[in-house]
Amino acid sequence: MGLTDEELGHLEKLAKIELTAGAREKLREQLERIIEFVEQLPNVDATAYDAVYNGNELKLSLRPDEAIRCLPRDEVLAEAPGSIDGYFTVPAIIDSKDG
Amino acid sequence: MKETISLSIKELLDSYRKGEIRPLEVVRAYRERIEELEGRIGAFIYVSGDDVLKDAEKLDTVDPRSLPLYGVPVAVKDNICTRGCPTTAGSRILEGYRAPYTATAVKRLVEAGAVVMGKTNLDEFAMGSSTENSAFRATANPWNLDYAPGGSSGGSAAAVAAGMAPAALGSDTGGSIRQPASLCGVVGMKGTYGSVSRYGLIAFASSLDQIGPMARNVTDCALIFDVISGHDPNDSTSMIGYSADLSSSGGTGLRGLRIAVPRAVEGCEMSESVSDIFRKTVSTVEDEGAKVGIVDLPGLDASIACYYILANAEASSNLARYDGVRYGFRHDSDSLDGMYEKTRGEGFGEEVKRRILLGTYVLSAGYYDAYYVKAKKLQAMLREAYGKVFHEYDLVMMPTSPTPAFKLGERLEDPISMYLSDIFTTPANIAGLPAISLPAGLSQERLPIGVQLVAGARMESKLINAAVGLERLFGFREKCLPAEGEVI
Repeated sequence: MGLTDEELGHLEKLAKIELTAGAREKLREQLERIIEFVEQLPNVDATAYDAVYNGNELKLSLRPDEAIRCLPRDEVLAEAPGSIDGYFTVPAIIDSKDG
Repeated sequence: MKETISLSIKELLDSYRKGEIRPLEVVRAYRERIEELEGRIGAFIYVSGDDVLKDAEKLDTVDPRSLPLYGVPVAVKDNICTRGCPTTAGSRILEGYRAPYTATAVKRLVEAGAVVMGKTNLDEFAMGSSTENSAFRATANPWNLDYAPGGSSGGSAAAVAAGMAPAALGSDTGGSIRQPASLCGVVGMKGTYGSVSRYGLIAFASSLDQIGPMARNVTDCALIFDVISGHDPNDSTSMIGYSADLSSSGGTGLRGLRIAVPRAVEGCEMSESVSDIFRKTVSTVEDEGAKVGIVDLPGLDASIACYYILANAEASSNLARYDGVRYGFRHDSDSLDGMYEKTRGEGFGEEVKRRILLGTYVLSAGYYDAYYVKAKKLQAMLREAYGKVFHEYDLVMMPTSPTPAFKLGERLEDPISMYLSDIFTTPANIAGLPAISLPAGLSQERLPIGVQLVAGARMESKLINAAVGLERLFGFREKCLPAEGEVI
């Protein structure tokens, strides 16, 4: 099963990764080969089994509903590429003309 | 000085307890060793500064008998968070990042008296089998500097093999402790899934990742594992009621053990030297009184396909957090999406992008059932199959890697040839089982070759008992190392 350029574009959008024009074709071909490689999976018949969704059959364990110490905000914000007044800053997400 | 850095952890602890040596001398000796060799090997992304000497000096006021890893220098793979020094995961997207907390496994080591010598090189986000995917440098195999140390914990493996630390922490998602251990001639183990806390381990595939020790011998690995393992309230996937006491294991030998070898191993493509050494290992353990049987387990090639679907699916979700918002590299843009796309496009290396895109593909509408759900069913089948084997057998034995170390650059253009390095190691991750690799011999080119043991869930003591026996039979350190005990 091949991977078209359009499909690769769709994956880029889903994964929020911008590929350079130079890298696209090589990556598309590599992904195609990798997909072929994992496609041998359907040859093994595991239909009788239920999908396993956790690492070691653990049941969800809850802790007491008590406030506990968490990371100090200033320390966390010290690593932020941009912050103002205790908030992370990002490019505008609301168009100013929409108010 | 050479003598000091040749001591095993057990010997080091004995020397401390007899008052023959002090932590400051030992840490200085290892720092000198790192200074001597790091230029040629490149095992570290970050070497601890002079603070490490102060940490060693503070131990002078502590009774050596009160701490299980008193004054033991350790190296830590750089995808494990350490407050106070950088954690990069081998990626430009985290270059300069300083974690605001320390991983539980490291915290436990330090509380036990260990001294952190630095952060070791790895394939970016633990994705790779050669450490060549690091954004910062490649690491050379101490046995031959033209060769790769394996990966993704190649820096840790090389550091231990070159005598730059007696032990190191690595992480293992599909073999990333065991394979570089095999290629560098050291011991590396991964416990049952949930035996070691993942709190502070930068996530690759959360249902497969485990932190584990690498050291020059099995007993040293067991000592480290005892300290780092056990339930952690900060990791809800860590097993409750689990405790290891492996450092007292090892006296029972191989006689009477029932060891299974998967039939599929014979049909796998591997180097002649790996095949020879494995065949000799099977005869040797039989001569020692173990019973070896051939078992039918689902095909190893299916298990590797299963792994690459599951691990990359989880990675595509786990790596969504690297978006330039809260930490790490940011490429500024006028739009939020633009910032995400350019940050991730520039910040991630090629292999990471490949894996995220593949993971996105197998989870996307129209493909989710055909790939991800099918892989989850195969995982259930594999787990059941391994469970059945362990009703009749104590251990499964396989080669660790199909080849000894390969040359740097040899597999970079063909991702699939790199992925096939993991063919013998991925089953233990998929089934959540403990496994260990120990060095068995050398190829004709004097490159190490490892043999792997896998045990049932929570059966680390059986694993270590057998591994100690096998280690004695191999006599690797006596037969294969140069006279002074260090490779380089």
